[in-house]
Formats: sequence, structure tokens, C-alpha cells
Amino acid sequence: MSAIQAVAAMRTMPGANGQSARAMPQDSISEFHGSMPGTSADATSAVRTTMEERLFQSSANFKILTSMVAMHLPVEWREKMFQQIDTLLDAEQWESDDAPPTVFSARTFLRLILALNSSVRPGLGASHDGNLIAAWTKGKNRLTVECLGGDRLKWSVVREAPDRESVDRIVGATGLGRFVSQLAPYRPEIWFTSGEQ
Amino acid sequence: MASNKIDEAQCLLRYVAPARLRRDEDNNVVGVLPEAFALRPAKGNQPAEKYLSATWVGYFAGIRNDQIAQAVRAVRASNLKVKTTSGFAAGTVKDITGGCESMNIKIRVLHEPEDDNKAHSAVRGWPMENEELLALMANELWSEVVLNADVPP
Repeated sequence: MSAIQAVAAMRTMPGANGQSARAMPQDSISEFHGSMPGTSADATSAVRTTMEERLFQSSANFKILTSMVAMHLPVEWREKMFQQIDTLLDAEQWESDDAPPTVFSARTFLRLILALNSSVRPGLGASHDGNLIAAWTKGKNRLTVECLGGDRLKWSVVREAPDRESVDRIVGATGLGRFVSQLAPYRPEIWFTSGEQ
Repeated sequence: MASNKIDEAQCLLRYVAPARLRRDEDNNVVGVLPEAFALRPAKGNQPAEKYLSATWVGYFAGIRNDQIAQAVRAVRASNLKVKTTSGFAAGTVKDITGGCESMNIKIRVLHEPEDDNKAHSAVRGWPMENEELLALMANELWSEVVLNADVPP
């Protein structure tokens, strides 16, 4: 998908008005199914291109997908997230055996970000097999979400009990649609709101 | 290959790729991700990893910080291509085995020297998939981070 096509697709997004906004309505999230940039290239790129090219393509795919929902992410937020993805996908620092993050994982990641409506960006990581990992950390309290394709998530939580005497630990695998409600008992605002809780 | 069980009071150091370091929103390293302790699955002609590799810190002489620095240098000198922004996770054998036992997983921590790293150790019996164990290690038991950049040549 070219940048021009991406812009065209963005124009079709509900609420696209060029303004930054924090929340993306649920019905908008469900319509974020636009053309997947680079999907046809992903299948064959392993043989035909260098790792540096594959990482560049992965970064470009991420940014094109982001551009499709740009109106729901503040400019500074978006720019810093691009810096994070560029750091993560730096060819000099990438393990040669690792698969670059797939466009399918990037799409799930962005839909997760929109669904959580967090004012705090996650730290970024990646699995061996091409999945982006989003991590929020507040002291001992940790939320880690691996974004698989098709809106599937693997996640883990470490959360101090209100008395701070013990911690709850839980891991799960679920679809994005149920994730927010599954997370709710762990008072997730600690990760998604700036400042002390 | 000679192998000997490593005492539970000893410390293990595991290489953590930059993409498996836990970062905050400003890219500061604040820990390691659970995936740092995942065995690599089979890929193409490469077989799946059968054990978790680490470096036995106690192989080296000196106080703990010196031992850790020597262990980092040993990994750098090995065939592993250590990235400048990578890190290492340190944890004691006691904590690691204890965490596994709490999940009814029996592991063996063995000194298995290799030609390119005489302090190499193998954690055998490590499960191919167990998200709960990986999270416990990364968040609590094998979670002390040493940045590669902080250890001088």
C-alpha cells in the first residue's frame, strides 16, 4: 500500500477530520480493518530481502497503519511512538534470528492502543517470532501484552494488592474484544494515567 | 561434554536481546520482558532450543560486581553477537529453581562449558511454553538487569 493509498484509506475512517483526539470510539475500532500494508510482501521477503530491508518495511508498515488512525492519537504521542519503533527496529541492534514484527501484529497493537485509551505510551519490545510487545510499568506493577495477529493477545499482570502486602499475578490469552474487561479487576488506571496513583 | 550441577547459592547471567528488554515510554530500560526467557522454537533448518543458556557468574573470581563484569566479557568473547544496547538478567539458582518448583517444574542447572564460553551453563527441563513461568522470572525472580553498555571492555 502506498502512502497515497494510506491517506485515502484514512479519509474513509469514521471521524477523520485531521484533529487529534484521545479516544477512538468502539465502532471506529471495529472498522479499523483497512488494507494491510505489505502483507503480500511479508510472505516472500524472508528470501528476497536483507534483514535491514525487512526491518525498514516493518517500520514503514507500522507507520502507514498508524497514519490510518492518526486522528485518534495526539501528534506528540504519535511522533514519540515512531521514535520508539525506530529504536526497536534499529538494524544494528536487531538479532538476526528474529523475525521483524509483522503487519498483523502491528495492527493488533494499534487496535489495543486505541481500545485502552491510555495517556501513557507502552514501552515496546518484540518476540522471536515477529510479535510486538507492549509493556507498562509502575514500580512493581507490570502489564505486559504480546500482540499476535488477528486481535489475539497474550498478557501478564503483576499488581500489588491495595494493602501492598501481597501481589496478584495472572497470565492470560484472549481476544482484544474481551481484554479490557478482563483487565478491569486489576485497577489498570495505574498504568494508563500519568502521575502517581 | 562435562557437566556439573551448579550450587543454589550461585548466580546466573542470561543475555537479553535489546528487543526483550523492558522499557518505559521514554525507552529507558526498566527490566526484562518475559519473552527473554523463552526457548527459541524450531525455525527453518534450526532445531528448537532444548535448554536455556546462561553464564555461571561464580565461575569467575572476585566480588560479585567483578564476577558479573567478567561474565559479561565472557559472553562478548563468545560466538554470540552481543548488541551494544543489550542487557543481561541476573538471578540466583535458588530463586530460579524455587520458582520452577512452585509450578511443579523440575529443572537442573548445570555447568556445561563450551569452547567459546567456559562459564556456560544450561538450565535443563525448561518448558517450551509456560507464560506464567516466564512472567514470574522476568518480573520477580530473574529480574536484575545489567546493561551491556555499563560494563567496560
